[in-house]
Amino acid sequence: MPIDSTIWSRISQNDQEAYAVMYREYYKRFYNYGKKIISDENLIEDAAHESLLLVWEKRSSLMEVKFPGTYFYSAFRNSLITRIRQQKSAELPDASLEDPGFNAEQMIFEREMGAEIKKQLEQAILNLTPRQREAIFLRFYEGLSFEEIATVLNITTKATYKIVARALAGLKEILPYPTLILVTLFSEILNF
Amino acid sequence: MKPNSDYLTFSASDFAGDEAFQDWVLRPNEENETFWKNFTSEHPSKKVEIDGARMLVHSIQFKKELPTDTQVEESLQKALEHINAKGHKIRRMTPLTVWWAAAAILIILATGFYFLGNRDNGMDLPVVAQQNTKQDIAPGGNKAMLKLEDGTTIVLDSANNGMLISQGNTKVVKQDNGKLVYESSTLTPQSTTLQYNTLSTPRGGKYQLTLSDGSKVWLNSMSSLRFPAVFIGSERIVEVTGEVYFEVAHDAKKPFFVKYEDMVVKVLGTNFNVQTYTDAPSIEVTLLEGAINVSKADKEALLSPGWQAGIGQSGTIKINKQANIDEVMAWKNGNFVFARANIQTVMRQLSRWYNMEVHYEGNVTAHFGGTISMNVPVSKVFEMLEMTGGVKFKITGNKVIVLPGK
Repeated sequence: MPIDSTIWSRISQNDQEAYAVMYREYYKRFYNYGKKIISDENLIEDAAHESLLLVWEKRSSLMEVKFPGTYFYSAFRNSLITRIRQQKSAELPDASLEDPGFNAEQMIFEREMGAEIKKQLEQAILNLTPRQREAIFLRFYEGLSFEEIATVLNITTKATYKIVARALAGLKEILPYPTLILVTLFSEILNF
Repeated sequence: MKPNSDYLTFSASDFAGDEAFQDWVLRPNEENETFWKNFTSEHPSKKVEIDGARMLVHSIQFKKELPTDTQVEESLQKALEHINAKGHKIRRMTPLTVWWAAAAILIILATGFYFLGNRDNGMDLPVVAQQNTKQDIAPGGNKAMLKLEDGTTIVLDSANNGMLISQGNTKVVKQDNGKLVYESSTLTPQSTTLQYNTLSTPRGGKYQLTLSDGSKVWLNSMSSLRFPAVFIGSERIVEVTGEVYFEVAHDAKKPFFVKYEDMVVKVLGTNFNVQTYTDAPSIEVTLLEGAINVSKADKEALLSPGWQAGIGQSGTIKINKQANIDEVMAWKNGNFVFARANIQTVMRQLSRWYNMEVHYEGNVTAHFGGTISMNVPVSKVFEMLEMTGGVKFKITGNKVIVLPGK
């Protein structure tokens, strides 16, 4: 269920029922998003809870922003990364400071295809950078615009375009054209 | 949608990477269906690329992992409890609230006014002799000085509670927990001249004041408020330095003005914070509730709740419509709140509360976020900052060395 502007508007007027509706929707989305990056549920729940409380705190400014939801995706992501870092440095002081990335296993290809192609695609997905996978997830699955994705990932819109374009080009190389097209081509040749 | 001419040169992956195309494949609606159907029929040569791109976009999927309904509901309940707990109450518009809500202006004027910065007059926060062997610096407390029109000064830390003085028909009463109240009596005739008093806080000090009209003012460290004992005439005017939060009492007939040098905040009914520390990059006025007008020289801006006006050295006024209220108001609630702050910002705030000499060795590039009570020795604050792995501190007496984490 999409959160439309009437829900944000009601929240900005202290409507807790509307807040609950938004909370349920976004909690699920953030949970799903968080699971792409890390499996620890406690960290994800804490980060989701914190960013959703932020919505209430900022409720008087919600209507000033074009897409209020984006701001909170950003807050959730930052909160999650911060918590992951804190936990890492607490447990393993010498651990690598590299941030966890979007898990390759979370991205799949839904299509009937030959085993060979499938293997190539899975390898291609592994070859994508975590950022590319995350950008595509936010675009395709969450439906954020390129501009919104740029905000969430803390990069420029232009960089977001590049990241997605490169990723798709790489994947496209492996996929054959649909057989329908091949048949069409053949029939055209034959008819001629 | 891009113009058709662009699309004609697209390869399959170009289409797949196009935002409008993606929306059509993943979220078809009447508008985009019409566009793409028309385009495909008008340009059959692109059909191969378009079909290939559709297939690619369609095929990319992600695993779906959702929380249980119980998890969602529990989290929601926790949030609702938090929201409705004391301190987060939704303001109800009872007549009393309407009267108070007239003007709560948080004006934090960072003017870097080093009142009582001189060690010799004994107002500085002492480095507490430690009971334990660990080096540490104690937090600040309710300390302030009141200076009257005739020059008399009263040190509020050591004064006894109860009525301190009376000025005309106003009684000045010191209450517990760092509060000073100006109680105006309407029985005796009013004087016709304004009697200005100045309340100032030293480093490590804070104080709260209730003005004769009922307005409440909170002063952070190294701040001051110059105000009349009783407001006379058609305007209420006060002057600030440092960081001050106001909750101005409503009086439509007597507008409330807060001044710092040539900056003026006109209160239209609100709660707001003003920050004018001179060691901060700009003056910041943050509005919590109501409306205020901020002006400096020939520039002005009208603020809505949640907005923050940043007034730069050159006099420009920049508006941030998503001020981090928690961060701005933290001091009034007895907390430090850092939100992606660099080490200089953090140390600057800490230095106003803790008496320490800060030295940097090496470059700290990390940014910091978090909340910590102000009422703790500085080592606790440093502990929290060190947890991020981005910084390390060494305390020797009141000298603090700041080092990069790793």
